[in-house]
Amino acid sequence: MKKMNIALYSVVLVIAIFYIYESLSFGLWQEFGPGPGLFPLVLGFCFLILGIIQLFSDEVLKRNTHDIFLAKEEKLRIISLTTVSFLTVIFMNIMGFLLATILFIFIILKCLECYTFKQSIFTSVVLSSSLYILFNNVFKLDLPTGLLTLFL
Amino acid sequence: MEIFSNLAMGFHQILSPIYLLFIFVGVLFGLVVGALPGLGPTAAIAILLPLTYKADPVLSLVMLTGIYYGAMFGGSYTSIMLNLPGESSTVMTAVQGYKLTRSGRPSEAIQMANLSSFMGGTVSILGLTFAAPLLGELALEFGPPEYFMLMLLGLSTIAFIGNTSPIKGLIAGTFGLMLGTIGSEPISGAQRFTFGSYNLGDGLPFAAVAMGLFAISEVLINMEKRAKAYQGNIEKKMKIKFPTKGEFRLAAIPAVIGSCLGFVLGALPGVGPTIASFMSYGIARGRTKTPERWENEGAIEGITAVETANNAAVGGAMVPLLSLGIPGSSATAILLAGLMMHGIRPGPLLFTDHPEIPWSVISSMYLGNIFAVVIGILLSIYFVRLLKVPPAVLNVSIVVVTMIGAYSINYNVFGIYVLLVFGVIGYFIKKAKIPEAPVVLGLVLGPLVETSFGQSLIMSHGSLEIFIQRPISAGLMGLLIIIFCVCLIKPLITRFKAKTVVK
Repeated sequence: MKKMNIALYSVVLVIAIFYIYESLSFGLWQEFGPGPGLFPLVLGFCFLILGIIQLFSDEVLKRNTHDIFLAKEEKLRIISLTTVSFLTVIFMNIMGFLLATILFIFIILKCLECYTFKQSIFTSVVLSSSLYILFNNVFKLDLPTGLLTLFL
Repeated sequence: MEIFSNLAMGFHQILSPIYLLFIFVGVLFGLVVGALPGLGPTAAIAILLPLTYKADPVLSLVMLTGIYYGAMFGGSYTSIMLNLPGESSTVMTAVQGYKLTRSGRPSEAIQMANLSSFMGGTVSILGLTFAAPLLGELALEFGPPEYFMLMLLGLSTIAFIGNTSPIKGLIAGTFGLMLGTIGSEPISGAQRFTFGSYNLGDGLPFAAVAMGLFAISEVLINMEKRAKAYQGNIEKKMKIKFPTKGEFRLAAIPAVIGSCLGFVLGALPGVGPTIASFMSYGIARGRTKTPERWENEGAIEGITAVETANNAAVGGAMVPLLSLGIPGSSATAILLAGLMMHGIRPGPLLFTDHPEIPWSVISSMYLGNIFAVVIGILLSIYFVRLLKVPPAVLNVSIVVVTMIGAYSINYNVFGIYVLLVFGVIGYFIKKAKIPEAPVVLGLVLGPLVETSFGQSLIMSHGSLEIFIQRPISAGLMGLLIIIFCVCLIKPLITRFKAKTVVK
């Protein structure tokens, strides 16, 4: 997909320019040797040059380049999974790890994987609780308990 | 003699119940993950890395190394029985292994894979035992300019070798180095690219980045493809049958060639198990007097050639990591990050200052290899059945486990955000066919490259001539230039020739 490839490598160029601009503000040389900005500046220019070469390469500019992304429905699945994952993290500090991950697994299985209600709730509760017990109690990793513990 | 006494010290340390348990768990987890298509040793190590934070550093490293070679062992089972290679280094195992399965000899093929993996692994650990301390002694002569050149060489070869586009490999490597500059500058301590965030002060949490790039991106790809559980039949019971004496004799020379080739190529940055396995397979295929057997019913020595090579590459890859402190692959880069998180910096001084660390790891590899072959012989059929686990359940489990891992880095949800962001970045990287390994390697090596670059310039009062004035550094630079010329100019010449022919 020509447009998507162009967009991807344009992002590379934008990152490179921003990176070069930022690195200039750190100072390139100090009394005793290279400043904090010198190495990033070199890297920034390398990234910029490589991005330009790739942007104007045959692979990106050819019309018949294959579609690197799939149909709309697949894209939607990816966006949904990513959004639900980010929301889970946002709510993790409030709801606690256990509740947040039960909800996360339930939503993914029910809405994206079309599991039945019973299957989804059973899998989410069993999976989440077992992982919680394993890591919180056995491995002694203190997972977030959330604000709900205040009311218990 | 010193090597043997050090090895004895290593064995003395690991022959305690807790070490044996960690080796066993590491190998078992590696075998399980290795049997699943998509998740290779790198993802397996990345997922379990944060869980070793609270453990003793040697214990952690012993377990993570166990995962590494366990995953190499496990990769062959689904290739042989179902024609589903779990990773690129077992592709050729599937070619011969599946033919043998269809000819009614799956058990013999699997046991040959187990024994070959064991042989390749053992030969490479023997090589590691002798080569790593020697290379470590040699590396004591290295200063910052040599290290800088060596790291650039490692990064460049990883970017070039095995990738369809060298430019994409270089973009990935440079991106990794750029990510490595986030946080404190290694020499002056100045804060860079943190945008006022306290969380970025120490740089990006490496484990979260690695888990995002290797595990979350794989989940996203699986979700997109609507991956389904394996629909075919998997045998419920299988008798353990070993190949015949004649077949063992036939496999002897491919096993020796595969083990030596795998060890040497595994030690070279960027080459690794895949290229070693393809080369070893090619040599064995070229030597055969019965090519029709390779085409029709399957050649058991083909499995030997591949499995000895890809397992021997593990021991080879540990040589530069332990002796120079420079990883040659994404899996060893994560091992290095694991060591650094415990405050241990591998390199030539590790063998003299903390000999118990490298020698315990090397000793554990001998033992872990035995665990792997025993578990493999007894349980390989059950690992194949893992393919019946619904991918949806596997995917959500991976997401939740990696979230736990990312959270436990600093007991802060920031790690999970990094994990998810790099999962999405990894997804796009995979889609655009940009290799992920150079990103990870660049991120780990970034601060080290910058430190040695800065130290070199301080030593030379700002003159870049230091890199050509010192013979080892100049030699490495020459090698780097040759690699760049060959990899960048060769495609241009090929394209020019093709255009001339068309005209």
